[in-house]
Amino acid sequence: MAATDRLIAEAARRLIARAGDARSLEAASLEARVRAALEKYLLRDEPEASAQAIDGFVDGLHADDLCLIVACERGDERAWSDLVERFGATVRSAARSASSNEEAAEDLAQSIWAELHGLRLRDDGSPAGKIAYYSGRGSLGGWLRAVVAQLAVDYHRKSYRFVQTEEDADFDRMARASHDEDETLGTASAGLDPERALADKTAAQSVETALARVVGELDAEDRLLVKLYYFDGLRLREAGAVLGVHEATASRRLARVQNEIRERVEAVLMREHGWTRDETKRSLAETAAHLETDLELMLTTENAGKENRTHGGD
Amino acid sequence: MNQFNEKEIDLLLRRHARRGAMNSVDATGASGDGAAQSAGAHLDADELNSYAENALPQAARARYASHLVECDECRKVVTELSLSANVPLKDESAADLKTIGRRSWGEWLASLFASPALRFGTLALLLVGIAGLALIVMRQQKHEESGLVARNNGRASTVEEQPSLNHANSSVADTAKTATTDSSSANASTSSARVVSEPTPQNAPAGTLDDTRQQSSVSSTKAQSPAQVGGVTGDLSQSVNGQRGANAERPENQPAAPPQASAPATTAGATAQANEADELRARTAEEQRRQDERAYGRGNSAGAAGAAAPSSRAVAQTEPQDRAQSGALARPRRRGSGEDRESPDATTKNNVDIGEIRRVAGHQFRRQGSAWVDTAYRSSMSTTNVSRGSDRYRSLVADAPEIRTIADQLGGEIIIVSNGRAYKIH
Repeated sequence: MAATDRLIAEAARRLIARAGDARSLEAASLEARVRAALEKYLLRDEPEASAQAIDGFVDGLHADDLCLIVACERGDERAWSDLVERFGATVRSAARSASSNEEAAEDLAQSIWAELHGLRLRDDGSPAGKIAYYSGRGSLGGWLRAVVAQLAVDYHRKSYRFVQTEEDADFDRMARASHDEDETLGTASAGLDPERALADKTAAQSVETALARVVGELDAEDRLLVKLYYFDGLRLREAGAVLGVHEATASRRLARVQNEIRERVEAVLMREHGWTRDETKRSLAETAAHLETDLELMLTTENAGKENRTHGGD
Repeated sequence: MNQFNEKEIDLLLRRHARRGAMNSVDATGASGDGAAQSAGAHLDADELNSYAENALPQAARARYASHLVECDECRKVVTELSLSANVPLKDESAADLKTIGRRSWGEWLASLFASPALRFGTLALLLVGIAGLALIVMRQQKHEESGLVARNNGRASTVEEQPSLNHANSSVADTAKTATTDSSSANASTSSARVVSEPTPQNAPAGTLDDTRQQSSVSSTKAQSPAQVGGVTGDLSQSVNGQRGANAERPENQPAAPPQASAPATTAGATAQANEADELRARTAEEQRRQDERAYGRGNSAGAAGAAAPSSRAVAQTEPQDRAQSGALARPRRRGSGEDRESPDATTKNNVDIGEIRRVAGHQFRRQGSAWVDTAYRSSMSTTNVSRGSDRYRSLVADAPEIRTIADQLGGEIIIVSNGRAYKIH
């Protein structure tokens, strides 16, 4: 522990030395921040992290941004002025992106500074503002954007109980329509060949269950990719940006994940349902074929509904 | 097939996502408060930003990724931050390409040796190469052994002939060399031919070809005895010829059996000529024997002895020309020399007389027994017997005056070749 303290103190001195404008801060004033960041991002997962890892982590902190925030926290007026001057545009831009109109964006941007400073006081008398949680690991501008986004979500969450946006309503309708069509398709199939339709439905449920289980067992990064691509509907470039990788890398990673999912699903179906490999492959193919039919049917129904609404409006 | 499988999984995942979105909507509608879903569980702004800027250690990143998978709100914020952060993306393409390249090379090598057909083909090629190398080595060894055998035979022949050369007098050696040089076999090795034709001392060990040859010479000398005339000589000639023929049939590079170890490698043509010469010699010897009997009956034994001296001189005079003569005719000459008849026990003298040659009127004659035989004579020629003083002799000398000169100078029985025909003058 003493060794870690010594490393943190040395790292704080290096941060002060590295900063272009240290805001007349001493190294000791940074040690608490550095320690908090270390415990949060490094020592929690690696309690016995090496001195080299600790030094590397601290050397990756944004020294100028951290000194600016610490100076603001210590009540440095010049630091506050510099913060508003340098990042006012960034905050307004983030507020506009997170708000539905300019007025709401302006209200959101103005509230950010109050949230940063903190309207309430802690037990030690210091303001309990969000500014105390900046670690310096990421850029100050990005952190301010994140603060604005979270604040916008909080505002949105508070207003959700009263107003459901049109976009969400559309999505909800689409999901319910798809669900109804699934049921309709199953009924129609049952009307044609009840025994076959039941067998197909059972097989499809088995596949669905195995698929959900396998996706849940994937590596966290792979699961996140599946979530971003299939659930959130992001493009590979966007999903890659979230994961911090190039689009081509994301594409290869997705192909690998798909292959891995298929192999695991087949293994689960063969192990737990006693299917042969041929039966498993046939079930996957038939289920996928039904899904393809479902998508076509859903698109056709949506188009027919739009046309009906259009004619009804006329 | 892979594309088809990917499409299947893609469809299944899209369906799974659609159902998940629907369930999420249902859950949200049921709770009526989205905040309850993530109360106290959301990532703070620093965590979201650090993740979006890819500034976290790997373990912390994985931990937050797990939360992002489950938390739609945090994932949405992170997505927005990531798209606006313009953070340099981790380019794994180059690394992946390098890995793929290494894998490709490794996989290529693996497939090269893992493919059953190619693996067996490589093995077969390797075996063929080894077999070819072994064959080449065996051939080289065989050639070396053949060369060693040939050299050993040459050394053995040289070793065997050394005592003979040391003990033979110079005239005998010269005569033998002449016979060797006159060998009709172009392929016969010089050393082998010399071993056959060179005389050996009488005290040479028995069982060798030289010994046999010596016995043949002695027997030929003893052919003066009426009891040994004809058959003995013919048998010996046949024996020698048969041995020569056997030697001719044996390849040069094969080791010879002890009796044939130093035998010459002669051609079949040379053997045939030698046989014919032997027959001629036998006939000549028979005729000479009869003449000698008549001469003995007349008490004229000194004339034959006096003819030996000029014959010896003739040997010295005609030796250079004799070196160019055929060995097939040289061998009968030495066995049927006149000195052999006059002094059967003088082996050295017999050897000297064997090579007696005279040149008269442009013809060269070799003495065989009591006869002079034209060196141009071949056994295949038809011979016309002509008696001196007969009408036929007169007409012959009228057409060919040199025949008279020859008949006058040589005397006795003469075989002359004139105008492609052979005449036996007696």
